[in-house]
Amino acid sequence: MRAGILRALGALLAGTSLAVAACGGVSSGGQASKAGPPIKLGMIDTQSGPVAAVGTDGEKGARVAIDEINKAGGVLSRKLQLVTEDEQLSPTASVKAVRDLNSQGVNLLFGFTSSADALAAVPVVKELGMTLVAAHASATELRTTQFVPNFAAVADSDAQSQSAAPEFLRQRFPDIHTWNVFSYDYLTGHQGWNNFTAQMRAHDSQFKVGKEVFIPQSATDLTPYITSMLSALPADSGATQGVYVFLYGAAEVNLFKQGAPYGLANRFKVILTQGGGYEALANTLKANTPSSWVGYDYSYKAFNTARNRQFVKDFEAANQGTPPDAWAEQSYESVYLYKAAIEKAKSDDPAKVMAVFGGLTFEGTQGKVTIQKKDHQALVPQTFTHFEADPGSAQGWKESETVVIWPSKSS
Amino acid sequence: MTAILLPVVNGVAFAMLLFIVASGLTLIFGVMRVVNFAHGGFFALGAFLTFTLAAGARLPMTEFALAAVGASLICAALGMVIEVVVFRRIYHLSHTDSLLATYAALLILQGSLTLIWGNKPRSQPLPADFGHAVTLMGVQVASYNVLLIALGLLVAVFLWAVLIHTTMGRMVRAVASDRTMSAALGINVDLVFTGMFGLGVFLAGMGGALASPLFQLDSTLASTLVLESFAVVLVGGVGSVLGALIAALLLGLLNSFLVAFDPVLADFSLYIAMAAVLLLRPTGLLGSAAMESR
Repeated sequence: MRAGILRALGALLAGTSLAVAACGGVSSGGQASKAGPPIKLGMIDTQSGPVAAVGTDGEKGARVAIDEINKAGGVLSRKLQLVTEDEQLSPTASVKAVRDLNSQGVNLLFGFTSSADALAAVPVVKELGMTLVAAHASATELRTTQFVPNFAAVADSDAQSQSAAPEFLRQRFPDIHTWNVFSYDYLTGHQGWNNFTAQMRAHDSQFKVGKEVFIPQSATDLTPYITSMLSALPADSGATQGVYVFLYGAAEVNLFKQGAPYGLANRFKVILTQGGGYEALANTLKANTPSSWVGYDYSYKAFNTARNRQFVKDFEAANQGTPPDAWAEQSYESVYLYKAAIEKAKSDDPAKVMAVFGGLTFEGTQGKVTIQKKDHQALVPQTFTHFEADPGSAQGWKESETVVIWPSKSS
Repeated sequence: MTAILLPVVNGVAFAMLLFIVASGLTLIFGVMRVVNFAHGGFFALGAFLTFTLAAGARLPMTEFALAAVGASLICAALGMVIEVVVFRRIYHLSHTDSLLATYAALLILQGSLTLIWGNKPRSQPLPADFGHAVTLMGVQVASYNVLLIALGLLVAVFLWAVLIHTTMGRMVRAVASDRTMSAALGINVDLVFTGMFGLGVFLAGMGGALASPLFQLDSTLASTLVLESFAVVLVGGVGSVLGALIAALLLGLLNSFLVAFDPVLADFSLYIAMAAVLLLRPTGLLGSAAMESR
């Protein structure tokens, strides 16, 4: 008896399920034939660890772009969908993330805080026939010796940022000829300084190298490095010399924290930092922010374009009034690059998408952005923003000036 | 003269911070024979708690000191709870088990820091009146570094006085030497263990509190100074507080002089000191003496 009731109930349920599935199938099938399944974009970025803000802010920017695009009808009438993986600042974890996304059918990737992680991921991306847009990774090798056609970059390259800096300094501080450096004691740190000095020599016949201080990445106590710099400076350095700071993350903050008692910031006429992100130093040091210029490829106040106005408005609406930083913008820009590439390729097939990277032009926050054919690098400007302490304000700091340096047609 | 004095002062100041952290580590190992991987987690917790208690503001020295002591006491209390709930159950197990347990505690502490304070880095300003440099024998020294030197020496004297000249210190040394015999003589071994673990963690928290104005506060803080602290314990001789003091001075000065005179080697100073000392004395500088004193 009980078995009979159960069988009857089972038949009823099965019938209902089939009917629901049939209705659903018609509905979703109808949609699928009209709109197709969502196009999945995979974001691999740091969501944990010391520079987690790059990835978490980046994700906010990407989500704003995806919301804007989906509200406007999607790409090729299909919605965009974001799938995220934590880069963990680890080449091993990055490669695993690439393979995980590939196994989920997500083949259009962007992100990467660390160039080392991106360099580890690129061969796997190529092997699996995926594409990768570097949102933040800036290493020259990604664009030169390790370049693969599957790769494109909206992040400014080291070469771009370091060639823009001397142009900015020539315009804004033509009287400062002697430059000192705090940089990391590893390949990129030395390369960055060498690029800077080469460009400065080309711009300024009176250019001189002052004291060079290279700091190991493992160093925690920076006092010996700071006093080593200070003891080499002449008495009038505060009026006549500049310092180029090519550090990022904790080291950049610790340099100014540990240097404050020695009046480090006052010993230079100009402090130019290019390693860390826009606002990173000021947001951490707040009212103790030194008067300094930060070079990066985006500042939300710098560009009066329709796209940027829309981005800032939508970002602030989605994030309790907080304006976007460069990391958010770079991810936002990556999504729009994919939108343009998919539309031009008329497909989300990675092979077809990568084929249109070179020479692609799209509307970005800074205006029309073109991807170079030779290295798939976006030609983006550099912004130089002056930060200083503002103890009276809620955030403790303010931006007092922004200068935009546009790149040459090929860089 | 300045060329010599500057690295000396810089090296001693960093050594004292290192000593405060490492002394807690060596005390815990000396008494309980536990290599406490969670030490770095308590160091970071001390720094973050100080930031919270000080509201991230530049405070007068007395108020900053209260925040630092408060943070250290909270760390000590949490440490004692963990000792009673977790570590007490693993003393009889192998070193591998205790390593795993303390490493798990470190991961939990690190995860908790991110959950409570988030991923955005924080910064605690130096106390008011300690944001400048003073001139000592013609050398410019950060006044906060002078404070660190004084506090490091104070901690060294305090630990020496407590461990050598008090009844409690004698009980601690007795338990460290032979816990079964100590228990037979009526010493409450569990209480000594909990107390010493609390003291060790208090020192880790104090190290973090004192370091908070010098370092960016982020989730990696738990690994800041930890490698150096383990090196200090090994070079000084495990369980020896005096050895830790000497080793911290050795490492701090070596690093400071190498930065000043041979920067290429500075990144290797830790390994140079460890290799040199452990080759000559595998038990560390005062390792044998420490063992004999038990």
